[in-house]
Amino acid sequence: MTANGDLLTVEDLRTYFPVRKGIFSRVSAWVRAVDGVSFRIPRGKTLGLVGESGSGKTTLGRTILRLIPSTSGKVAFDGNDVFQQSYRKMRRLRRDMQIIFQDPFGSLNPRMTVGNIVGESLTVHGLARGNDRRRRVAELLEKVGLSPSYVNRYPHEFSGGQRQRIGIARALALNPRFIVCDEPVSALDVSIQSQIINLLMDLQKEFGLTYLFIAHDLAVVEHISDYVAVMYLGKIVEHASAEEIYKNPKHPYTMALMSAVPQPDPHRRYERVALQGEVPSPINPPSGCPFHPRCQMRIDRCRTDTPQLEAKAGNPEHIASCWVTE
Amino acid sequence: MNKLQKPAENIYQKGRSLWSDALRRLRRQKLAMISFVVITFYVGFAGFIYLAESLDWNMQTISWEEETGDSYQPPSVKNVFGTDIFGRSVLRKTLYGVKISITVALCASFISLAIGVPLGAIAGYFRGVTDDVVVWIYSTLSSVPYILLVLAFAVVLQNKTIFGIKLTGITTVYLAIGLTSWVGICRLIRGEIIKRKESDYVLAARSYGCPTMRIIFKHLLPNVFHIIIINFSLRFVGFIHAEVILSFLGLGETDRPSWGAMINDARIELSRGVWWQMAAATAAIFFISLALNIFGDALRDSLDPKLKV
Repeated sequence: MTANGDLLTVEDLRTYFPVRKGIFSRVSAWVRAVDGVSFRIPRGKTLGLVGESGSGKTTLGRTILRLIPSTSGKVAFDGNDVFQQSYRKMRRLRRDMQIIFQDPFGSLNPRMTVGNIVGESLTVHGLARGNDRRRRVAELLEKVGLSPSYVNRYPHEFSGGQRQRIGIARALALNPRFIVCDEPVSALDVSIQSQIINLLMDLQKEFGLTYLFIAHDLAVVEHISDYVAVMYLGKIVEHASAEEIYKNPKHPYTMALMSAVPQPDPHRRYERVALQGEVPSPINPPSGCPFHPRCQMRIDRCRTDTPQLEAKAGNPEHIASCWVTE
Repeated sequence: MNKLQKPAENIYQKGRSLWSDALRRLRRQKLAMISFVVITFYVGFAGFIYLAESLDWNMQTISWEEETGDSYQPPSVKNVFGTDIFGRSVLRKTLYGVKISITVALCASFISLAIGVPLGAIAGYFRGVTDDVVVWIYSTLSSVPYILLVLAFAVVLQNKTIFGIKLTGITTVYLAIGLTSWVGICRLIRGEIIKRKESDYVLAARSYGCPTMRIIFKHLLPNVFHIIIINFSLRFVGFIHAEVILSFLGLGETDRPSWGAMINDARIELSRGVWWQMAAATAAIFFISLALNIFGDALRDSLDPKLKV
């Protein structure tokens, strides 16, 4: 138990992938997918993690769960250092940390029945078998809004939204406390998106779950998150409470993302900041502020000095890394 | 209307697995089903011979050893495929050859799958040093011309005693074929596992602490199993041919008739106009090869999810 009630603490986490070249597979460069990220999530809250494709969001989520080896840094889950656990302790810890995937078609084993997909973790951990397991699976399917009569069906017999519900039921099977939602709605129709978001929020209320909610769409994140972190090229560039960041974005990148969110009010005029170009290569990130080549507010200093995260707008809870904004 | 109101008889609806889907597609192909009947006949006949031999049934009237006529009788009503040098029925010899061929092909397939599949799966899943070692072994094996390799194995294994079992005749043949032909399936499985081990369902299994061996055998192998089956059916022909070649070269069964030995005999006989021994053995090989090829293709069409229409 940490004193301040944070369930998850991430400190200076780095995940680099080697780029190998030549016949001797020499490491010629490193892809800095996650490059010094720190944040914490209080119990029962949701941190929304936003960024473009290639910003390292997915890698970050998977590194936290130790599905991808980290390069350096520390992840503490309820006071346990995730990277230092023995095999057995890690297995025990995995019961508390689960993941929901983006692609509802690739994330379910096509040759297993729904009952086996949802219930396998119970068997693996020796928690339930036979009738107990059947009852628990039926209960889980009902929880996520599916008919328990589907247990003997196969994934290809379901729609995208239903598959995503199966994925959620699988993640819930072990009664976890923390779930990494890796863009759980990006692959779904808009009408289904809100259903899944609402389901996730209901489940959070019911089971006191803590979420790391990864998305590339600010509008989706706004609805579900208590805090929002914006990621760019493996680094967090802005972090604040959801309300604050939407009202008062302090990083030009956040502003640009924000202006891409469709506004429901046709009379309100707003300025659109269209982002130019693409995310630079994480193998060879730009000097100074990594965002400066695409930034509309850049000054000379941005090219040479790297800005650090600092409190903005006189609010210690609102941090951003920018030389220009106050 | 009636359809809608009909209550579900069983609330636990049976799902349609990919396997049952594939089976349904397979059944629709007439030619494949005919081939399947032919294959079943060959395998069933081999089984029948084993049964008859082990139970000591009195098979005098259809024994291949019986002399049914004079030496080198051409095909007639009594001897459909004529007789060989000792006056034995070529038809009976050909039928008996089924046993040798099927035994060799089945055992060789089993040995090559038992080596190739686990090695490929483990190499593909763990990569690193394990992978390097496996790839090195099969690259070395496959750099030697296949027939020479099988021959070398057969010669080395001939009449050796391993684990108290004396290796003679066809035992040597299927061991030699099996030990040399796992490379293809190993390479295939390794590639498929590498492709699939990063998939989200494997990641999900890892995230709830599924043991590695369970991931390989319960999550990954069922997803590549259709490749094993397709490969098995197409390889089977190759193994039958390999047996024929080895017997032809005098390394296979010597006491009992096999198709390869018959073709070997025919080498000299042909110049004397005795063609029936050659014809019978070739026909037997032709039909099983054709049936296996058609069936293997049909299997691939119906099992490969990528070809699904």
